[in-house]
Amino acid sequence: MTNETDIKKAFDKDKERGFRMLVDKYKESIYFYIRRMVVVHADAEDVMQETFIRIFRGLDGFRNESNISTWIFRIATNECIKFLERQRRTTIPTAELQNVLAEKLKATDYVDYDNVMAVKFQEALLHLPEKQQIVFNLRYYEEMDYNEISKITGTSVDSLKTSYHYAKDKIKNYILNA
Amino acid sequence: MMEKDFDFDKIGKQMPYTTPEGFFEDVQQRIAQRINDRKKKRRVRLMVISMIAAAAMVIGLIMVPAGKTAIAPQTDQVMAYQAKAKDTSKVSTEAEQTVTKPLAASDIDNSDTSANVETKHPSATASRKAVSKKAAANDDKWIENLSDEDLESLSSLSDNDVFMSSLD
Repeated sequence: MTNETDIKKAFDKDKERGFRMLVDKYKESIYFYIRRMVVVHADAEDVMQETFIRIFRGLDGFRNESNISTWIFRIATNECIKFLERQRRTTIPTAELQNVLAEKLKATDYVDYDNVMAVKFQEALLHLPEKQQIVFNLRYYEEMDYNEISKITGTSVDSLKTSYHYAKDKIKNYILNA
Repeated sequence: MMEKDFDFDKIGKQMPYTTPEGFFEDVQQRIAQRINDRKKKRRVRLMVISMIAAAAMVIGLIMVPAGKTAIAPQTDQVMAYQAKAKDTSKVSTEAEQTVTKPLAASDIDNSDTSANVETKHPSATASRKAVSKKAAANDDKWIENLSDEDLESLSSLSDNDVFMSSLD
């Protein structure tokens, strides 16, 4: 399995080879991270490609101060927020976006509707405020520590811990009561 | 029936989301394709921008000499007008010396200011002098048409005329 050091070394020798290694390592986790936020496969693919293009363009400016994964998830998060922001501006009023995404989840391609509990879990996740969704996704699915999440979101560790706690509570309540 | 408590470990990282078959296999290619498309678009955009810039420069080069010729006649007109004004002022000064000689003394105090006005507005002075020349000619005509009796009564008022001219 390729680790971050290998990718960094590859970057130094050949930028394009390093980029190919990076895409191979992160394509699945980045895709599903985005998919959980935007729901529809085509949108997730579009945002994922945009994320990797941004990464490719930013390779020269990447400083080794942070982990590659932190940097990549930060870019992916920004692209997700930009996408959702565009949706709000063009088609859907702010308050309704969560409901619209939850509705899309009920009828879109490439969803395993036999896994009822997993669908409901994602539905609950979509009803969280955007920031809590991001924190929950990064902590629960990507198993990032709070310091790393703090670098991605620009929020203090204490605030992140509270957000994650609230997110878990809300998901639990949604699944038990909705 | 739902349980009273929800166990996150039961669901773990399960997700209902799936992808088309082989989706992740050609992600590399699709990204490379998109990067190339962007590069092409950027190249076309750069070409269009440079063509527009070149066209603007050519138009600019064509328009600058045309601008010069457009200004030149105006300058000529001004110079011609100034020359004409000089001639007129010469004629009118000569006429003034003959027609309005008695009034020259009373104008001495204002000579400086009138000189300034003349240097600043030569054309205005020229037209003013032309008007005064015409007025003097009209006066002569009017005097010629007066009867002897009228002339006598007017001459009796000459003292008042002196008084009034000092007021001017």
